[in-house]
Amino acid sequence: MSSTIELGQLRRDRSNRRPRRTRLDPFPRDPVRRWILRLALVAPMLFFAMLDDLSARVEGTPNADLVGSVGAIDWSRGDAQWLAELYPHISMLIAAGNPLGRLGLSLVGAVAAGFLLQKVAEIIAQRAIPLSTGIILVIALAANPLFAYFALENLPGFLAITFFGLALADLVRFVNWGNTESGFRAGILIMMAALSDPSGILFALVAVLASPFLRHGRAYAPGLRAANVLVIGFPTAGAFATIAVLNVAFFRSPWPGLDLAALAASVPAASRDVVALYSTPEGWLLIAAVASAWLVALIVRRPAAMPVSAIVFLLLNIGMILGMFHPGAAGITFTLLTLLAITLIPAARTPTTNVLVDLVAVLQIVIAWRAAFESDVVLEWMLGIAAASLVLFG
Amino acid sequence: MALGGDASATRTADSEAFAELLVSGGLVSPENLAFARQVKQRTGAHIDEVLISQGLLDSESLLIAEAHAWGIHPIDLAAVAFDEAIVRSVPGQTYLDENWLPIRRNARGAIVVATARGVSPDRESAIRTRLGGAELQFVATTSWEIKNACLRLFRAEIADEAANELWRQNPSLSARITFSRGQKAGGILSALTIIGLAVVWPVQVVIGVVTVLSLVFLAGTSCKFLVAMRGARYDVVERITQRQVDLLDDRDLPRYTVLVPVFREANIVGQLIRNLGGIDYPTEKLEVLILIEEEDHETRDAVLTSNPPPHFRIITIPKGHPQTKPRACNVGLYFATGDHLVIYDAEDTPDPDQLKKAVIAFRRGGSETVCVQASLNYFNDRENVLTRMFTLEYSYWFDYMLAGLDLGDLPIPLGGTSNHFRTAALIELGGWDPYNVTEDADLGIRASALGYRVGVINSTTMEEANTSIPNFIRQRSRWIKGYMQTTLVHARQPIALMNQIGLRRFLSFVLLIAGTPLTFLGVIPFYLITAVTLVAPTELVAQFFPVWLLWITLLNFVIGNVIMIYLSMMGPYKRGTFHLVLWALVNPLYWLLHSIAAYKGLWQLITKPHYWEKTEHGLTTHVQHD
Repeated sequence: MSSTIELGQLRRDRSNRRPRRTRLDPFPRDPVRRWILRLALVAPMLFFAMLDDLSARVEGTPNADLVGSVGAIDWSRGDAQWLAELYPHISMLIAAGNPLGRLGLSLVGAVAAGFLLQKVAEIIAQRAIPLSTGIILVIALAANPLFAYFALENLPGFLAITFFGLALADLVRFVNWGNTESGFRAGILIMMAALSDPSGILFALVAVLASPFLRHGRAYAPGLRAANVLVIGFPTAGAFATIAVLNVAFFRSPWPGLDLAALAASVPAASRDVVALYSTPEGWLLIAAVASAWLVALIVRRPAAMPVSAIVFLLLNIGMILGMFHPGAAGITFTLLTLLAITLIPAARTPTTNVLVDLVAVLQIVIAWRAAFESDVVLEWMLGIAAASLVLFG
Repeated sequence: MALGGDASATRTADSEAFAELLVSGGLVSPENLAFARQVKQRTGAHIDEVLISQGLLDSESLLIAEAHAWGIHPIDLAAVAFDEAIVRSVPGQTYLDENWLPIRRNARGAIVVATARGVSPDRESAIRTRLGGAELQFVATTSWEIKNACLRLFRAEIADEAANELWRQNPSLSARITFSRGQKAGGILSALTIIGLAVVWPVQVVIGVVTVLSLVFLAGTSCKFLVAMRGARYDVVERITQRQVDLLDDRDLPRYTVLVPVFREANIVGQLIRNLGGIDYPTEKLEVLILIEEEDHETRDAVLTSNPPPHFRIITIPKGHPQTKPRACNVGLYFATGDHLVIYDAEDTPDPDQLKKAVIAFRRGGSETVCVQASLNYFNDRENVLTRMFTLEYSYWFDYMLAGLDLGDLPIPLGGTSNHFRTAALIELGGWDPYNVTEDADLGIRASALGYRVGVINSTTMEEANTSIPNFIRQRSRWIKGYMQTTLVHARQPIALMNQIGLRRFLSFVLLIAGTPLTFLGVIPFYLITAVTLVAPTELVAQFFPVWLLWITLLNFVIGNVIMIYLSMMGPYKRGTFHLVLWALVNPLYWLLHSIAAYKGLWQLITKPHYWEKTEHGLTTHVQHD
């Protein structure tokens, strides 16, 4: 036997050690194409980021406040008090290392959007969802001003939802398909979401509370659901416990910036505001987004997904009451629920199901655009973009 | 061609005439002979091997029958006086390979030669040539008698070879010298530099050391986590399926040797025989060599009284230094006749089809695969907190870490038992290093360094987890000391090693083998620093350390702990032992034990580097269930 044949045999044998992959394949499978897809998805967002920079910037957006918060930190203090002011760490560190101010944050948001949408495309491909339905779902999620504003003007919130979106796909693979690697990656991604924005803490809670409702792919063994919850929630809990321990060690308080008394005092007024929200078209649109998610759950015969959407909605409201969302934030509920709906679509469907999913996705597109026009801050942002476009293109 | 290998010419035991002789002599019943023929048909083994391995014929009767068939007299080698000058005129290994042994000259001046094979003219001529052309008189014996006689006659040589062969082949690969001259010089120079700097800038030096240690800690734990994550990718996929095992033809199976080194373990000998008796492999192609130290009469007596099956053999390990498991294994390797070889501890219960899975893995892996490692796990995980923690650790290590290292084609430090080898490649590698107290980990790294591949198989050996803390500390101190020895051995020529195995594998070696003891050594100091920081006023601490640096250092350490807890949670997933997941939170305390063991190991590395801390087995009150 020639050495060439031996090497060929060896290569074949080595490849045999790896099981054939199907459901776990990245999309596109070729890394070069994957990067091209990401760049293609990033490109329009980069374009809007540039327009955004040319426009008269909307003040009071989360990115504007993030730049202000980082600028206010005194990095040279001997007592290192700034360590206690770093939360949300990931967003703060990005902002601190970014020389381009708000434009830089928008660019990072645009890149994150590209990664998130590529992951959504991957979920769609892994579930063998028809191309037409897939395109409609991606349009429903991303081709609207809510998504663009969210990505370009709320980096902390968008990073949190991006990490959470990436985690969702892993979470489903972990719980439904019994893929251990995905579970542990989901735990890490959820932690990163929680370290990107306070809303990420809510997302972590969503993941922890939702996982028992998902259909479990492993053979039942005592303690399985509890173990899954622990795997999903532990990194976040561990990270916050670490920060709290270090804060106690150095600053004698688990969370030096947190004024619990003031927070408690603000709850009644915030509750009234939230209740009032649902008497406005903006509030109705939030409920419509939840209703759409329930519709998808019913269409794909995943009733267990309905409590998940309900938990998300409940936690989002609690988040609003506790002030976990920036006043200038918009699009979080819509993006989150749409992401959840896409993630929970199963691989096995009938043609009728696909058509019904298409219809709900179209409904989502309408809801997204309507909600964008109902939100003052998004509307102002859109006008700014439009004005910048006019200037640029005459 | 080896003389003993000329089977067609010399295997009288397989001829029809011989078979009829066995029946007519009343040594074997016609039914048993028919059964042996069936087995021969199925497995390709010889009739005599079948009869012996099945206990249908004893060695003595076979010897008499063979002697009769060959037309020579039988002899009991245990009772004869050898002429050492004649015996030593030929290397001992030749006798083992070729199944003959000269005894002494008879009255006529001819050399009496014991043979375990029939005497064809070619064989006689070849032996005569070996013995300088002397006249020969043949007497019949068995292969095992020849091995035992060789062990007695070449006792000193075998003991010396088992201890020092690797050292002679390549001193730089042996841990006989703990610190090389360069390492001593470098170590002293570094220590003096650090001390000098500490005199001038004490605070800065302490900060530097603490910072480096914290980074090593974080890098070590992160590396383990990333590798294990990769291993988790296919944890629910069976690499070798039951169907592939079923498709194996017994006739194609290679001969297998099982080495079981035991020392003062009379209490679990019965368990050993029961557990290894359950291996699903044709006994005609299986030899189990129980390696017992010369002085350990109690264990030897226990084995003999427990009536082991015929394919179980005792090898007495000649006294010598160092008295370690790898030295015993090297003696076992000297006598092993299997194409493949595996090591089990006395208390091990391997999956019955483990050897067959290893055979498949070797066939798949090609000639570059020198070893495959099976997973280890514990049957007494629910016994106490320590056994739970031990099981968690082993689960992540064997089910995820090793799988990740295998997928990444990174060096795999072998675990203590259930490592299966190609015997010829193992000999080529120089066997185990008797001076290294984690000879298994060292061998895995050595194999990688020499361009071989170590793989893993989806088969498990159940063991007994350590139930007592002092026993645990003893065992761990040995393991950690062994990792230190392995690091020192392979770091003697770090640039050469990096060139040989590549940067990626080199970094994996540094973080896993060198990083592990360093990580454990760092645990107690970091616990103390954390405790002091929590108790002492920040202003006081700030006088000595920049607060931000200390904060980041402690962050590294705490995050490293969080990562290790999280990694431990992964362990139970493959086997569905979810009741263990919550126990992962106790890991920081478990690491405290590791740290104590690490300091003990470090002390022993300096004071008695080759001392083998014996782990007591048979302490569990739990019984393994299938």
